[in-house]
Amino acid sequence: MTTCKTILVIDDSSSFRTVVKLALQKAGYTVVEAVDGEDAVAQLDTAPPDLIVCDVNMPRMDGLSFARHVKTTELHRFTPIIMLTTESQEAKKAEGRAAGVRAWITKPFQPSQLVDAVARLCP
Amino acid sequence: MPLPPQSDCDAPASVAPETLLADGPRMMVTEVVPVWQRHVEASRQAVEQGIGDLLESFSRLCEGVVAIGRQSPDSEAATPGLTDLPTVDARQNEVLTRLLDEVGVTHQRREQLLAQLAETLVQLDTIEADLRDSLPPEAVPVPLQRLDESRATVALLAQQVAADTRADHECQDLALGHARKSLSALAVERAAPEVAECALQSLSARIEKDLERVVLGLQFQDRLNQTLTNVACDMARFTDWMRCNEHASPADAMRWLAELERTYTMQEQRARHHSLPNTPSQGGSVEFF
Repeated sequence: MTTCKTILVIDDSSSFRTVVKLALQKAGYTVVEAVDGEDAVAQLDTAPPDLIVCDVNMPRMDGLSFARHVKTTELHRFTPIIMLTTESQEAKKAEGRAAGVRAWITKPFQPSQLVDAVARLCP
Repeated sequence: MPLPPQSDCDAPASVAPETLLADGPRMMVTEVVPVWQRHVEASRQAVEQGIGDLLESFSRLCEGVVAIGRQSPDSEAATPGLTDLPTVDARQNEVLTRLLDEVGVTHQRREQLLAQLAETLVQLDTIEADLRDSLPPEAVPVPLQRLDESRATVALLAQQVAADTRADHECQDLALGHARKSLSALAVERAAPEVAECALQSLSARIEKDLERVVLGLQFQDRLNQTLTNVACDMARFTDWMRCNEHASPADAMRWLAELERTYTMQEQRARHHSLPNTPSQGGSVEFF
């Protein structure tokens, strides 16, 4: 299966980025990576993604700050964002929802769950 | 999350670091804790690197397995001309049945001919007997003698035909047996690769599921990584704090712990912090907003 969709994966853990990349590439998506929110902001305009998969707790710029930033940009404000995190506190989820996040997946995740969520938000 | 560089605390400007380090317990902390911290960070990095490499290997392995599974022909479209086993069996049976039918028809025709021949011989016998009965023995004509000879010849031929028929039947039965064996062997030969392909596809699907489970299991490394990061960061904070604070009060300890708890990223860390029963998160919940 191949798609033309590009997914931006943001996580400070390289091994976790590999996990996500493995799951998405296997489903036919093109994956670009960023190590944190700031790195992702720098990459946004060079390789505009169709969807963003983002961790919450990261150095420099965390995932929720990044999501808020994305929603202020003209070009990317409609790009769906999925939070993929160990964080399961309802308060954090509420923050995510307020920041415009479209889905919240708790780690560890089944690759098929992520692929299904991506396909649903980025048909 | 990489650890931040160890930062200096807001030590009073009038107090020289040498003076702070002169205190025994504080010196122990400032000397020993950083060593622990380096061990923790080195272990964290090693685990992160190791798991990353492992995942890359699994990724390649998974791709290989998937590629093999896709190459394995699972349909006629994948391998034109190769039909499935039931179809082959059906065709073989059809050919054999048609052959048997033809042999049967031939047998019947020969049986009919033999029956007609036997009947003719009986009629000839009857005619000969009638003629012999109607004539005196001394007046048996020559044609009747020739008829008798012809009858004997025909009887001999009939016996020959019957013998040939039996021999033909035996040959045909033998040929049919060989044909059955050959077709069975052919079916087995054709079935062997198909069975292997089915097994390969099944194996491929199973390995893919196993790899998904492995990938799921390896994600717990991320939780270990986060906990080690929290602990190492707190060690650095503790060291800084000890360099600047000679005495700690219970309120300091509470503030300290509250600050530590604020850095947690997982429910299980919060539970562990308060010595509450810890149920490791199974994760995998998906919530759409």
